[in-house]
Amino acid sequence: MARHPNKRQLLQWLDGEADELDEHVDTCERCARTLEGLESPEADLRPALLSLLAPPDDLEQRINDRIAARVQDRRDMALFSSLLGVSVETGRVVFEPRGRTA
Amino acid sequence: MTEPTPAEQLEELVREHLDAVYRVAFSVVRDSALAEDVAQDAILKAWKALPTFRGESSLRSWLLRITHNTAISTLRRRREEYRDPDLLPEHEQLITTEKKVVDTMSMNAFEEALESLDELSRSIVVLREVEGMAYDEISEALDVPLPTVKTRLLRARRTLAAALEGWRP
Ligand SMILES: [Zn+2]
Repeated sequence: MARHPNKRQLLQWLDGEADELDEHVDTCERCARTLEGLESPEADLRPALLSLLAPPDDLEQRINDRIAARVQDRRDMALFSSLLGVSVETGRVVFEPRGRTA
Repeated sequence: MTEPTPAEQLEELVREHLDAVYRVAFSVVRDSALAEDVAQDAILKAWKALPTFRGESSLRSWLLRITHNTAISTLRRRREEYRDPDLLPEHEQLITTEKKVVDTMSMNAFEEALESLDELSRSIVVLREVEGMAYDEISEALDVPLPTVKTRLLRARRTLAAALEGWRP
């Protein structure tokens, strides 16, 4: 392992100003420990991340509809059925949207 | 107890994990329509591969690994298609009820800070801060060394925390 960067260099790396250290820092346990000692922001990022990455309200419904539509395609159904080791007929039953009676 | 049918397994993947899958996808691709495509692909891939899932990691970290990889390859394909980042799809309307309570200015700074991180760091910070995964679980899920998880997380947290200054809900 190449020489370990000093604290000043590690702080520069934290600020994104020493990308040449990426390779070392990415694999060095000792530098990871040093960095942990240098830096431990208290901020709770969860609320902001949750808010920024919030799924749309109707995502689940849309994904279910899209998956159902996709497997209506006979080739896809045959593919899925073969992957599952079941017959195409079973495959179709499996993918009938909920609430629809046979 | 009877084994769940494949349809039930698929339903459960969507019901239990879709939100986490979407968040990881969105944090990497930064476009809501594309994140939805990635979420669908990742869930279908995982569902098809379920018979080969050996339970060596949790189902969730396995699924989120598939999601991260799908998001990265989707992004790469998009970039090759367009060559020009300006042609990437516009960010869609992201305002949700939750988001409306957030001060828009600081949220923009936060969004920009997240965007300034590399894709691996974005996934790492989401898996840690939002999904609450342990370091070794993240290391396994993203197939990167443990020090990478720790140090990228520190750097990401520093960047995001700085952008968050002044924003308190
Ligand atoms: Zn070192």
